[in-house]
Amino acid sequence: MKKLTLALAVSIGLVGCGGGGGGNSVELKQPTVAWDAPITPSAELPMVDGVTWDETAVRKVLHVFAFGGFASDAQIKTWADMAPNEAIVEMLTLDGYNPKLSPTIDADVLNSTDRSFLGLAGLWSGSSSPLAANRRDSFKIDSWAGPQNIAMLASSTPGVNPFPHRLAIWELNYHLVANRDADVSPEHLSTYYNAVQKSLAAHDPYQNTMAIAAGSVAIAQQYKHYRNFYDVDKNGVGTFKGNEDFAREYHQLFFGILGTSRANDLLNNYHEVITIKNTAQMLTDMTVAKDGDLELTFGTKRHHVDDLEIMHTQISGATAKDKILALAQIDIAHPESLDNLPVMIVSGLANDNLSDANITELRNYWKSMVKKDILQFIRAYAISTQFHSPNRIKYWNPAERNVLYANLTTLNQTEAYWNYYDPNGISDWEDGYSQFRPEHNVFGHTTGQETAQSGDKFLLQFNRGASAWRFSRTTDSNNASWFKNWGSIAPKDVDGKYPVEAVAEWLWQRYMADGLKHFGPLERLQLYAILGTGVDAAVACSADQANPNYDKIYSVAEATSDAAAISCRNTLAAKFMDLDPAGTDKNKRNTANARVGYAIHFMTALPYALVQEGR
Amino acid sequence: MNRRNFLKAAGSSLILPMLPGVMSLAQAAGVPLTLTQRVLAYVGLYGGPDLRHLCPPVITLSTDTQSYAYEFWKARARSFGIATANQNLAGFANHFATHYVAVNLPGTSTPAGFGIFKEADWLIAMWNAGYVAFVCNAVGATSRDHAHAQLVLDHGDLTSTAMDRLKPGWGGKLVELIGGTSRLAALTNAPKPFCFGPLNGDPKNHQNSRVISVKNSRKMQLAEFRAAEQVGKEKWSNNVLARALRSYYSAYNPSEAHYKVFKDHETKMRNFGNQLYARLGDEQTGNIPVPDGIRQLYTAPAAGATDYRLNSTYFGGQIRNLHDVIASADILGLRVAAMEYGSWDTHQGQEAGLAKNFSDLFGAAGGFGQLYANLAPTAKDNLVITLAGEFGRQLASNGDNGTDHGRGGMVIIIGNHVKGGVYGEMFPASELAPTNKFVSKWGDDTVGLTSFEPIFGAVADWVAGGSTGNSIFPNRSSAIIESGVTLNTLFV
Repeated sequence: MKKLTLALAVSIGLVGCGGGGGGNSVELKQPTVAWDAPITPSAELPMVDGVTWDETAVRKVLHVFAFGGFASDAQIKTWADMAPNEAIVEMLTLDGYNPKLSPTIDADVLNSTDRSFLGLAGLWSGSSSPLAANRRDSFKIDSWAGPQNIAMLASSTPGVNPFPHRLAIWELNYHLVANRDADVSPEHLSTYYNAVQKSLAAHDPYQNTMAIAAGSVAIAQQYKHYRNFYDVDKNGVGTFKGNEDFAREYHQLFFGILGTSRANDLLNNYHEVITIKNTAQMLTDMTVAKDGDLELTFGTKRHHVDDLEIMHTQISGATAKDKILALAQIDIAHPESLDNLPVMIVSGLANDNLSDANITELRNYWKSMVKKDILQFIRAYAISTQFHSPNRIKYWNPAERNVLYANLTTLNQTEAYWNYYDPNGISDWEDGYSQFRPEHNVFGHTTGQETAQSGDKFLLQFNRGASAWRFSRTTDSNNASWFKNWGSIAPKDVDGKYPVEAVAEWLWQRYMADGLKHFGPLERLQLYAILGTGVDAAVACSADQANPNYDKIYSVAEATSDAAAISCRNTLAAKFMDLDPAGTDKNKRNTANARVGYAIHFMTALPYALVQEGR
Repeated sequence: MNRRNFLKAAGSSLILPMLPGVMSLAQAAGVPLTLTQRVLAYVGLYGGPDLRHLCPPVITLSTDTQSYAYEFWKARARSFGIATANQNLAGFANHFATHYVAVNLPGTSTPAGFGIFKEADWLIAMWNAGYVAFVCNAVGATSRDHAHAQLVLDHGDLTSTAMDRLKPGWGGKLVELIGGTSRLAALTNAPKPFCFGPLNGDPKNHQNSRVISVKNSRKMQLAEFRAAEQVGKEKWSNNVLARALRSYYSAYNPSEAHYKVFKDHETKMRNFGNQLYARLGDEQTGNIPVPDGIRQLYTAPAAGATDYRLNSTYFGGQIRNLHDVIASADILGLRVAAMEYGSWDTHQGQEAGLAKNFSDLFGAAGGFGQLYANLAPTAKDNLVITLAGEFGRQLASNGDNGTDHGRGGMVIIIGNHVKGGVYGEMFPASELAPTNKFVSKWGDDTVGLTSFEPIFGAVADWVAGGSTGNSIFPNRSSAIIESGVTLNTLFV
């Protein structure tokens, strides 16, 4: 793809220990960044108009595809002011570093790595790690939860581009699944993650990425086809020994081909008895030659070397690897794949409410792409009218929402490295959502739809909302130089003060990204009370402050029309918060910052934080 | 061997208490739970279970090597984990004798022709009592795609496509038709499509007003401010937020379904969470503690022990939930309980995997064995357990000591009012046809002869009364059904 010459190549001239674990000295350089040319609007997937493409639209894209990202409000406004097809190529990139989406913010040791999965793992687990010494081992690629820890921290650290991790995490948990609980070692999973991400970053045709995945140790461990062989006896009679598990799932799960809708696949049970059986024979002599190997060895001796008829095509190749790649070119063009793959991608990442018209558009656009480039596809979708339609519904799965809330609360690398908001731990230990250990094995992890249907998942989120400590931390006795500093980014009035109303609206937009559509009287009443006084509306608005009615429920009508309620709300809205980081009274500053944290707790237990509407 | 319709009238509820094994279980019960209304406990066996592995044909040293049974064992030897050197009549007979119990037709001394996995001793007792129906050659989706076939299974609708993820399920439809205060308790991590209720005017979508999530029946309470317990702490941040959220949700009344789902959760959890806690209390010290035998199904081994009681503590937790929702059936309006047990996609190492699954589900020390030990006769009389997977497995072993997907499978229905027996040919002769021999290169499959619809329809009729199943499964009357099989006598 053509690159614009906007490259940023800034050497910050630091020299230090490399973080790759080896301790080599390397020059710390800000990576060179080049932006792609604006994407060409497509008739198949119409682009949203300039009016709809506003700050809210930009935030919605970031929430869905970048776990919120770390872009400043000013950058978000800049993107909103650009044409969507120009902005999107800056917002969603697959390089390790995207200084606009995820600026470094503070002193950056990430420059000692290429910010790839393995590079980050080396830094965070190595001797120059910015992490506390007792945490480093858990970021080794061969530690038990290493892959999960690395991927989640990569998704939630300013200075690391979160979009490639959003995509790779989806791929490995929902599409090209390898399950740690299916004998896939952490090292193999890490290697697999890195290979998939590397292929995506290289803009490989999507089918080639899938072929790389299919030829990985992780997938071979998952399905056990590394034990598949095709042996020819002295009479020239060949015998297949193995299972046909991945032979089916390669077509079905990777490419979306069930073999059930086309006459030529159904005739004489062709898909079952020719395609799947022969694919099983194709997946032979792909072994783990010795313990510790991170790549498969593709042999010929026990491989079905001759051509195999699969998908009505003679598939050639000396080894399984060659044939897998050849077959990928056939599968990607299969009518069922052309129909299903774009729908799988979009429903998996962004829309739980696809209409028939949406699906038709997606299919048409996908078919129109000569090269199946998933980055191009996602970018076009992210600025499409259907993404920004009020009919689009995206329910967050536990990891999506936990990382999203954490990122929106994280103001610098320090907060990420000190793990104050711990999206990984919450997802794993509270929600039971462990990365790369999907709930439905190869069929994918807990979906947003499942999360929304689960009363238990709601219960967890609600109770976290009422458990006020996590987001309200303001200081850390183990990290004395740190204090929470919402004042550094919260809106101020002309006098440099922080009005409750302005802070509340800003917070609502930051976390809900709805253009204040749902920030009504009821929401305002409670949020103003929490921010302005640290207590709920029942107490803050009570006429009898000595004996408030703690069970007081404000109805929508009362919050909207009752004079006393309106008066209270207005009074609260006009209060100021002591968020000034230069303020002399640190206790007041900390109290104000804690109230912002309470407000976040409150907001993240509301329905609007659990599902995103397209508009 | 008589392979056709081993139906026998042996469903008398008087038999079970006279069986020594079951008797001892009943005597071991703590506080027996009762049920006053009929309840379906549905267990989705997701992954394509090989239930022929549960009940293979009897083989002994005197078995004819030209018989079906011999061919069956020869073809499946590897998936039974029989070493190559032992893949002969003696080896097969030894494996059978070691791992299976040959059973008679219920209530008779007539050999049934098959055995049941030995460690499934609760199931064997229930079979002998005449309370188990094996409905063979059951079929839903004709594709062997898990995701699609699971939707068909959960919807009970053969027309469902792989994209129909939001359609209502037959469990949700069942409680909707029962109406009143009836509800479905989803005892799994998240409600499966089986649970989804119908949405008026939109057959492709659903609503869950009658569905209650009971992932952990002992932890369903929302954070709440209780003034009497919090004197002097009223302004603590946790109390502030609990009040703010309660106040908010009390007033919140959205019209959009995607927001309403959360409002509904809050209402149900606040209501039922508190009521269940009042009824049950803590696991060990509450009004109705979880019986030790059930608690051991999902908790860590006792000191000195090394193994968990069950292979799947997740399933063990669902049994606790089932125990508890039965104990709270009046509060919940319980009519359907939805469960799941996975790990059936046995392309490799089938023997070891399935042995664990069968023990978990059907052992006397396993899930349902322990549950039944704590049920009063009224609960046993009003409960029907239905277990089904999306499809079955090919008859022949593959080259990796496992089996690959096949269309036909088996549905197991268990209950005191079930007319025990085998419905359909357990071992279809057609699978011995020369063109479809086990060793054939192509065409490996298992036949599907009876659609899910009439099978589940019969279950729905019994649970809800009348011909409720006809409304849930509109294609029931025209659905395929194996020749000679009559499902309207499935219950007595």
